[in-house]
Amino acid sequence: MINLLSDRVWFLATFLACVASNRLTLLPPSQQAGAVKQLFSRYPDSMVVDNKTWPSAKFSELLAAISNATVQAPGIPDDQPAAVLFTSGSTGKPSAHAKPWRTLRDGALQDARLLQLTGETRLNLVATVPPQHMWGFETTVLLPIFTAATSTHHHPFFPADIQRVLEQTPAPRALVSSPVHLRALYRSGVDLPPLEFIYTATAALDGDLAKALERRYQTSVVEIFGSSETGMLAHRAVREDEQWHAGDSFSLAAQTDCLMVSAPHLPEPVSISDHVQMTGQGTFLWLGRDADMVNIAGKRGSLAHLNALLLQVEGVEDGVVFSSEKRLAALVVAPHLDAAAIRSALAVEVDPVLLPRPVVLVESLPRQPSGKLAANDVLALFKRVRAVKR
Amino acid sequence: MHTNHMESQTEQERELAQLIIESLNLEDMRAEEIDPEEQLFGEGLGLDSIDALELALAITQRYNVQIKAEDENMKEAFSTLRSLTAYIASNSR
Repeated sequence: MINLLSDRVWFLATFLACVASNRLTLLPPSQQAGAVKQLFSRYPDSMVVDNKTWPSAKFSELLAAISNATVQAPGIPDDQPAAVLFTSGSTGKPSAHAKPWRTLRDGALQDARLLQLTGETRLNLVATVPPQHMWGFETTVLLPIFTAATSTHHHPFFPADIQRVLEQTPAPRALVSSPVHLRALYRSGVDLPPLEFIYTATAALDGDLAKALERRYQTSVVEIFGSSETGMLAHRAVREDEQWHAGDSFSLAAQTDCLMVSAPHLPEPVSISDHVQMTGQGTFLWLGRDADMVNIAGKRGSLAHLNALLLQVEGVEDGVVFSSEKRLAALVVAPHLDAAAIRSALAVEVDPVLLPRPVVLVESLPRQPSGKLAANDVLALFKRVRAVKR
Repeated sequence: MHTNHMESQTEQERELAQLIIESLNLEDMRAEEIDPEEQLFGEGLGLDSIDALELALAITQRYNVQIKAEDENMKEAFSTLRSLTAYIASNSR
């Protein structure tokens, strides 16, 4: 089941129904048609459920039936494949990360400790993040299943929405979000009801913004470091230093260009493309990512993969995608295409925030005789072309 | 981008177009180039969710209008420069 539902209760109901009937849930790296299509070719027996196809009319009947019934939770075997999360990688083919039931269950208990939830805490979560992405999946789907925490079905987006949904949520409340939304929230100046925590992940949160959020909302900001491969891995509180503190079930080994992670609840050891420096038992400093992997507003992308997609667009003779300011840009050689056509072609597979903007058409790329492209040459050409345009 | 037949902008539309360009750092465009009937998000101008947040903030600061996604009219309001200008005009105090 490829579960694209954005309403968390619908998502949860569908997910649990799949688990109960031993059907695997697949969560694609993006909701673009191309990404979903790729999954179909790998899993030909899949079904897709999204907001248009979900039988919401039946849902109220279902809820009524459930509240009148005595439900016996079925015993789910530890090793039953429950979900597979996919991430875009540099090879072009998304990497699959299998999550058997026990990984989800034991991972959720580890997550609760990282989020500073005690066993009995019935924290009511409001989240801006989608349930398909690992961060949203762990917080708004798995925590309500395995702990006393709850999640609202709402999916607030703008600061005014976050305010309204939090006001409708009973205390104790917490906000689950990411730096892009938190920055917009702070700048909007809206008031929020009392919060126990603001949880943030998917990208680094600026230290000053974190402190400002704590002051304004009289709350604790907890930053989480994690990945689709490992789930939530480490946490950090604002008042302390920059060090990350890994969850107690993890064993870490820093390598030259990656971090090896193992834990009893993970099916096998995984490697994530982060450079870290261990500073003690289970504590580390984050030094950066593999240069190929970019993070735009919390979405991961591989420049190599995006480059490959660009060169596959019909009519594109040459091109390069690169980081520019906070986004991605592209220089493209395509005599018969315009920028809009190129972006449209990419948009079939690529998440909107990873689409290059601007796409600048040029006569040729500044390749060296070896065929290599030096970053400085690319940026210099980019600057020159834009200066001329004005 | 449609360069052959473009609707002309009203003054308020031009002002909002300028705000869009400034708040979203669309350095390659000029305000006059945004077709009032062209889609803003996804296709057309190609804005995305990050832009939506940034733009909502700029609109609140300039026009004192709160943007809420759960407002029924919001999706339609954000579809083109023309519709967004009209939404702001009818919701300004």
